[in-house]
Amino acid sequence: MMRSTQLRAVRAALLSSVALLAGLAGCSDSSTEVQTFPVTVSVSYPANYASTAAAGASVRLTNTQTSTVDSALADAQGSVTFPRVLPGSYVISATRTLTSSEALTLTGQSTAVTLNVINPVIAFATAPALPTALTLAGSRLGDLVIKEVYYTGSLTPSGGLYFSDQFVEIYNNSTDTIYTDSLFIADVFGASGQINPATVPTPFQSDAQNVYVSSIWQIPGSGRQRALAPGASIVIAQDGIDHRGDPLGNPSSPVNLSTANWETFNERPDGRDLDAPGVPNLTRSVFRGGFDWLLPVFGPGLVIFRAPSVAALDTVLVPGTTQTYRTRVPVALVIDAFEALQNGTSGSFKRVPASLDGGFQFGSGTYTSQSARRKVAATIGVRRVLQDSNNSTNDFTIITPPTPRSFGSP
Amino acid sequence: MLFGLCQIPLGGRSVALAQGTPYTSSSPLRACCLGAASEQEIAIRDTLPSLLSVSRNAASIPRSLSQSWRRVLGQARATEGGWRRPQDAARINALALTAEGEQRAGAWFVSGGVTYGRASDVGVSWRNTSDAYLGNSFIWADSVGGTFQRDELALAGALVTPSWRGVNAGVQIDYGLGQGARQNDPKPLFRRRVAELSPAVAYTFGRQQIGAGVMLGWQGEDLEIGGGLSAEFPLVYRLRGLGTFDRTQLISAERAMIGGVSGAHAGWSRTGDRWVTAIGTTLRVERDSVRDGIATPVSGGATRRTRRDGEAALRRRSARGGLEVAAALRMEEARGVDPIFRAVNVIDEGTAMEARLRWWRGVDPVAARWGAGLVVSQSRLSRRDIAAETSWEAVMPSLAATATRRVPAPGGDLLLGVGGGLGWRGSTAYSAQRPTQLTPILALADFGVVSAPTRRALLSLAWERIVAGRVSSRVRVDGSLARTSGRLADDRESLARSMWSLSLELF
Repeated sequence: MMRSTQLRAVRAALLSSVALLAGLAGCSDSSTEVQTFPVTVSVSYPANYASTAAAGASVRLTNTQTSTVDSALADAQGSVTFPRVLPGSYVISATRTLTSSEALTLTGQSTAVTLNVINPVIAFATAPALPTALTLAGSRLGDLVIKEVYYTGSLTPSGGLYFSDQFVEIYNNSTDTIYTDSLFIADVFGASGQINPATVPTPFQSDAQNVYVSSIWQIPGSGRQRALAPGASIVIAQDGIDHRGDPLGNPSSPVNLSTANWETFNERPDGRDLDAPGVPNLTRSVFRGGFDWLLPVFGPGLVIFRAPSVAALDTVLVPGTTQTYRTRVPVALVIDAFEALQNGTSGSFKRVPASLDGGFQFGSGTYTSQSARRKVAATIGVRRVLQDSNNSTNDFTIITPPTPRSFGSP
Repeated sequence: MLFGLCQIPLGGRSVALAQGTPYTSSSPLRACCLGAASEQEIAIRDTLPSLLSVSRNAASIPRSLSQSWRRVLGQARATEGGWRRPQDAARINALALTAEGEQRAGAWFVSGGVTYGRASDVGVSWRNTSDAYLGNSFIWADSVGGTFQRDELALAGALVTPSWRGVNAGVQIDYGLGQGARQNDPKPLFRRRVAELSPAVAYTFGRQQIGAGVMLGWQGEDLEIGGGLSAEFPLVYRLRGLGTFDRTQLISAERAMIGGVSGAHAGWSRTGDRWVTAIGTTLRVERDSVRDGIATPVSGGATRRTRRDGEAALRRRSARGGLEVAAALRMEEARGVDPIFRAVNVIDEGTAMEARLRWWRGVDPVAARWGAGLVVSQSRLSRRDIAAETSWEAVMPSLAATATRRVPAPGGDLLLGVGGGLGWRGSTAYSAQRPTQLTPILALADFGVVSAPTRRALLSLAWERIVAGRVSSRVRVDGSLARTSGRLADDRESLARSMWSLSLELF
């Protein structure tokens, strides 16, 4: 009996021990382990670039709590997948440095540029359903350029001379919107060629650091009123009318400028310059002309520039004169320049410093309805990128008829 | 850290101190472990294989002890060397005073002890807590480091009822208190308290005894840091695993770790004239929860540790000598819930197996003229940090041998103990796929230490004499030296760590 009791006790002890260990084997904590998940980031170039996918972009995923950083390069589709992201708050950023040749392919501008984007803090608790989309941004490539200058004028049906249909077209040749508020446009002082035996070149030719202008017009605006999208342009008319249909116009004129953006209305007491009611007027900052802003039909020099104010520019006496003044504009302020001279042998009459324009254009004559239009270097999407080598000889071509706000075949 | 050595004040013994673990005992609350290896060879009392030895069943105390005893111990100890886990002190100077004993009081049986310790931990870095390797992965730290001064107190007591129809009931109570502060700004301060109650019963029938019990405990640590008076404002790190961390600059802050302990044990023993046998098993579960801040407490992490022990011991005894064979197995698992991810981020797993053989010539091991021991063990420890994608594993077999000799000396006996051990690098693996700046400092360096092959030497010398009546004294010197072999996994050169202690006992 005693032995039986002992055996039962031993058995009970062993069984309880085994049960203790076995039961406890299932006591592992049921808490969920930290789960990682994939996060995909899609990186795109700015909207006006030739390609959407920012292949090769360096993408960084920075945990805001631990400052740990994961980074990877975007594939050909501009996509990066971080396979094991921990729950947390992250800042996602991307950068892509374009070489000049890459920039040329993507934007038409051969300027190296670094594009960046940084995303606000995103909290990931689980795998996001959609990729995080980032669009790169960077310094603007390109700037405003003078796209077309119609300066030769036209003949009337009766053989008369007509020059009120002149216009200048300014084009946004960059990758971003540019505000044209406060932009100045001016004609460069000096003769276009050996127009008569006594004509001499501008006495300012030796000053390579400045350009000397006669009249200056300014686009009105407070700074962000005149948005000009990439690939868009504005037309500045001497007179904003339909020159072909207007009774005051010329039926033989090649242009209708009633839809021009601006008009250079020269308000005078004698009313010699009419104000076209449908086209707003530029601000006349400095005027040293006749009854209208007449560009030399032999070939003008033009600059567009930005300056704090006209008052900030120096007014200088023209050498050899006693009362003739012109305004001096430092070349550093000039955005773009154009020069046309009387003919191919008029090079000695150049007015625009070579740093702004290394060449010049010329038409076949005056009142020929010819204009000088900048060449198209590339087409990025629907946006034309115009050639801009700071040389009017290379960058422009003479066409007729003029093509305000278009690139139609001459 | 999975295998915190001697997490229980007084009496705890870890099979995991497998010879591959460096002397990490920076806490007097854990001092019992440090001396255990040598005290085991030159003990003042003999503990038979019993429910007490294999499962800490207090009700078995009357059966496990051959006679009453008491002692007073004063000990000075110095530990120093580069072979240390990265968050342990480079040098530890400690003083400890202990009074303890066990005796029969009529039909009752009582035991108890008190230890006061004072220590200086020199060269502590990357921890502002009492101990970085107690098992809680969520600890405070700064990059400054310095010297901690600590005072600690450990109390233990046990009471066993008279036998009633073969049944004894007993209860073991342990309490520990330690507090300390670093001596340099921002002067992190900690106060750690542990308390544990372990009621148990034992039923004796004939030569056999079975028993079981439970354990319930509480442990907590309060931490403060006061950068507001500092010349600088150091970055305070919240370490959350093997490299995972976050950090901030604080003027002052407080943190509290609150934990609980629960568990159960059961065992069987048989005490024959020549053979004494004991088998026991224990389960222990610890939960820690860390809270940051006071006005608005926020979670600083939570840890759950589960430990399963099984131990068996067999002794053959005779008037001429004896032999004891023991085997132990420990399996541990810890999972830390990260306060930011709110999911388990730290997973520690480990097993340790140990087989011990003791032989002595004499009535019992304490009075034996000759004694020898052999310990063969193998530990496997793996740690994993999911967020940092860092993990390592080290399987470390080891072998240790000891020998003791007691010879007559003027006025008493001279006791000599020598030992040596080898630890091998079994299989190891280390991976850090998402390393942080702390990964090489805390994870790789720790792996390098734990996975290092080692050689150890141990020397104990004691002079024991009767000073008055039945009171004996013992002056004892212990020394040990451990040195790693070859380069560590983190490419450090061979490192060493030494421990020397001088103690005076009255018993």
